[in-house]
Amino acid sequence: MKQEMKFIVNGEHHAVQVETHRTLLEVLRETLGLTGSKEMCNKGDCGGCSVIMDGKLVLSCLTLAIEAQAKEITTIEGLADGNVLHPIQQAFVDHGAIQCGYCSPGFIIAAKAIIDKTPNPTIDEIKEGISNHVCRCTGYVQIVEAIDAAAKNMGGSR
Amino acid sequence: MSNDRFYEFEKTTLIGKDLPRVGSVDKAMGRARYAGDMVLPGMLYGKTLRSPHAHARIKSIDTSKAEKIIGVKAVVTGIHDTPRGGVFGIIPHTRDHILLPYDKVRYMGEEVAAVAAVDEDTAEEAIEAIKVEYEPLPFVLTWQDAMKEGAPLVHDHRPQNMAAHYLVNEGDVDAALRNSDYVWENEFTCDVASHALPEPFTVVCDYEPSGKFNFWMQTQCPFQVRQGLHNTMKAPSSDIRLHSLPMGGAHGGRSDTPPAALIAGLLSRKAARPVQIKFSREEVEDCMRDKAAKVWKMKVGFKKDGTITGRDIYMLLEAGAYASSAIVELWVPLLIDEVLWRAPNYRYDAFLIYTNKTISSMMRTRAHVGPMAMDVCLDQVSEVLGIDPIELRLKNAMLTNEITPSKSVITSSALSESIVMAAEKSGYKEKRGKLSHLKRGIGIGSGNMQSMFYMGFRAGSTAFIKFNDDGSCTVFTGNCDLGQGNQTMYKQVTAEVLGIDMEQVKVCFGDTELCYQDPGDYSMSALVISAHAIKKAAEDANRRLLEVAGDILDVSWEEVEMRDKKYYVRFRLGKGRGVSIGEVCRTAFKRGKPIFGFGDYRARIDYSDFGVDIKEPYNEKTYGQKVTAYSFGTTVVEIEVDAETGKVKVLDIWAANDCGTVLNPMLVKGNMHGQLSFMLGQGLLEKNVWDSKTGSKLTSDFRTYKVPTVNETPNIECYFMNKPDPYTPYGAKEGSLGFGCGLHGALSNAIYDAVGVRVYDVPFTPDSLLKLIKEKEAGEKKSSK
Repeated sequence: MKQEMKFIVNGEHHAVQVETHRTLLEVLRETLGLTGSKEMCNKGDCGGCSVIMDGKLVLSCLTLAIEAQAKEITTIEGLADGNVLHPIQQAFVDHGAIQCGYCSPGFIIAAKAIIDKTPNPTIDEIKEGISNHVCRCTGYVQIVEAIDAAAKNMGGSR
Repeated sequence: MSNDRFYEFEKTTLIGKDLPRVGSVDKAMGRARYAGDMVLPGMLYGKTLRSPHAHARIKSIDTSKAEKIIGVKAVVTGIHDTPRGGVFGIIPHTRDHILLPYDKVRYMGEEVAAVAAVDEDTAEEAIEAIKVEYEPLPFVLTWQDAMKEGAPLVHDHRPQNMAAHYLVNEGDVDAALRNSDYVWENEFTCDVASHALPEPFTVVCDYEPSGKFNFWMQTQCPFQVRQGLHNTMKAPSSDIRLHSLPMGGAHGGRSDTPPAALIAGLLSRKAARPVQIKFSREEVEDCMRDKAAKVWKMKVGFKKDGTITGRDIYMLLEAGAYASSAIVELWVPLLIDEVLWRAPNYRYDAFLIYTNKTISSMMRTRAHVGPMAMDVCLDQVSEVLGIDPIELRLKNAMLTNEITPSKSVITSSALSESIVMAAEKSGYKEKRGKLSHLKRGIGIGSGNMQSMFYMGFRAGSTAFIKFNDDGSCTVFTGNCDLGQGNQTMYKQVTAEVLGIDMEQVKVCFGDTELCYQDPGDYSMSALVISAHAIKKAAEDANRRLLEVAGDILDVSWEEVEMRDKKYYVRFRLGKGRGVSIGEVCRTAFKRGKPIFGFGDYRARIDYSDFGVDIKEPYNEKTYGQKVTAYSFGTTVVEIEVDAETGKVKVLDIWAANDCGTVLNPMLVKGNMHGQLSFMLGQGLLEKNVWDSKTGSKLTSDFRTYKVPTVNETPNIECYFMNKPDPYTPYGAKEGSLGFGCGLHGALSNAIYDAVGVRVYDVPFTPDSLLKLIKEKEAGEKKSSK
């Protein structure tokens, strides 16, 4: 069964017909072509599909698309200004926090949610904010360094 | 060979710099295109029907209902579609795997049939409509059961389920142990571990009517996968093209030819449309690859002064259902083990055993049981003989230019230096034995890793560089980039040789149509083999550039030198006329002789200059040079044990890494953090469980198979030994694995230091450690009564 839904993704208004059993991750990737959000486990164990919905970090694989009705979504594609990286993205690049890169969009979006909520996070707050995310390459050290540096670079701004 | 000894260590401008990983910007923006992001016009979605039995004969398959479902475009089965005679195995005598079988299934989840349809839901419906008649057979899930007399045979032609045997026997081990002052003996095990790769396996195949198969899939060894497909598809190699892609993790788990690639090829050909097969998380964990379980029994003889007289090793390795690249795991522990600690008499007797479980393959850190066994041995023996543990290590550590029992030359080793460094930085001597009142402990462990092992004609790489009219260039290499930074390294080496900016170098990697044969990112070959070939190609191009520049400047090429990206006559450097690389390239085009570079590097096997008179490794005596370079290193770990739960918390790690010249410290450190995280997971958290009644794997997701998160990350200090190897590009060696292979030994020793119990079986889970702590406490109470 299909249903029309309207929502805002990265500042753009969308009206799409979706089957009610489709997840937000599927609609973002397959209907809107926003493949930056990644499917890793598809059951909420890894954080790879994280997006921000009305200011809150959500797992798009556990969110039905229709739950996003009339909501505002930010995906990894919504961070950069054209080809100019967002300070968090730039910090991930500069600190070597990206290796295979598959989990990186989830971590970067989580970092955005952390800094949006707490502009000057402590290391423990950073760790808590990414504690449900899985990375198999980096061992997390440079990811924490990158988020810390980004928060400092942004000078407490959002 | 004398040329190889020359490394321009002092003069370099890019070597040793912190350079961000190439490709990170695309990945940070979510713009990198992985296999699962690919959509081709008219693409169909494939699903696989998998065996519900751990071991069964396939009696019949009826696909008629599935074929009638609207939207189904192709159905394939082993009986009807698998090209006959096409059997996969990475060496001829282990060709045991029919990728889409028609006789038997050998583990739960093995491929039986597949469907391509217009969408995933239709494909799933069609899979459920296929009727398969099986004759279930008894199965074996453990090596203990598999080796019993009369055990069910996974492969009928392999008695006692023995897939392969490998023996190295040097000197007289039995006599050496008989004549030793002290003989230490123990048994270690490690359980099956999973790669738990972030990106689910995905393959897209687009078959062209001309007969060509185009593949987009994750692989770390494009040419080995092409070989596997060539053998099983029965198609010429030139008709199988693997396109390169970024991939979400590999860690050894993407080296083999996946059955899904053959299936996608068969489906695409039959449907005459592109087909994508994407695995679910459960399929990734159950039906791709695991790391083999291992048993390591060892006797070590010592003199009173602590000198090792001989070592006797018996190893069992569990292959799972097929030998696959687990056959390599049978050899690799030797490559690691014989290189760390000197042993004049040495026996390595290793067996590969089939079971009805997920297929095993290689995995980073695979050889850790051997180093761990020796770390624990040296810790225990230091107490028995009353010798300082660091002194005992230094007495037996292998040094530069020593020759291993199976006759490999160690061209550089800073093992001893790494032991001293890690011990000093951690305060090991001051802390050891002094922290147990806090249930804290400190432990040391050393490891090493081979860079490349000899694989015949596949042990070489050929690189090519083409130049554009503005002087920028593209490097072609058959190796790939798994995310650890290979592309960055390839650009760095090329730009260093040519004296140009890294931005002017692009890399085309891992495309089997555009690039030459290469071993792939397999056994740490990216640096010592592939980057070596690239360096030679850049040197070849540089000579051509200098020649044309010399012509323009009217001097011989030997009088030309580059400064600030321009060519000058040497005695007028920076003055007079400077010629840009673009001008040189344009001049060369005009002459009809465009600039290019060609370089080839083969693993060196002739070490007669070191007095080793063997020209071909893996001969019948399995002796000779097997490895181009060895990395070493030592880690010290400080831990805290919760005596109520048995949980180990790692507080600090001091890691001393002998990776030769450090090409790019920021990247190597990141790779070291990753290695330690991977090892901590395997050492303390990650455990697979099978249902013994059905043969079903019960740990098929991140919820049940627990990988480390940021919460398990300790403080990590990294140190570099900076001892260049004379035969590798710029003296660099593999930088992220070897040092970390000592971590499990360090953990085991630290647990003993903290709570006084010895752990020998990886993983050291809370329940297993708690049991040992309780047993010890009960024993102490008993003896105090």
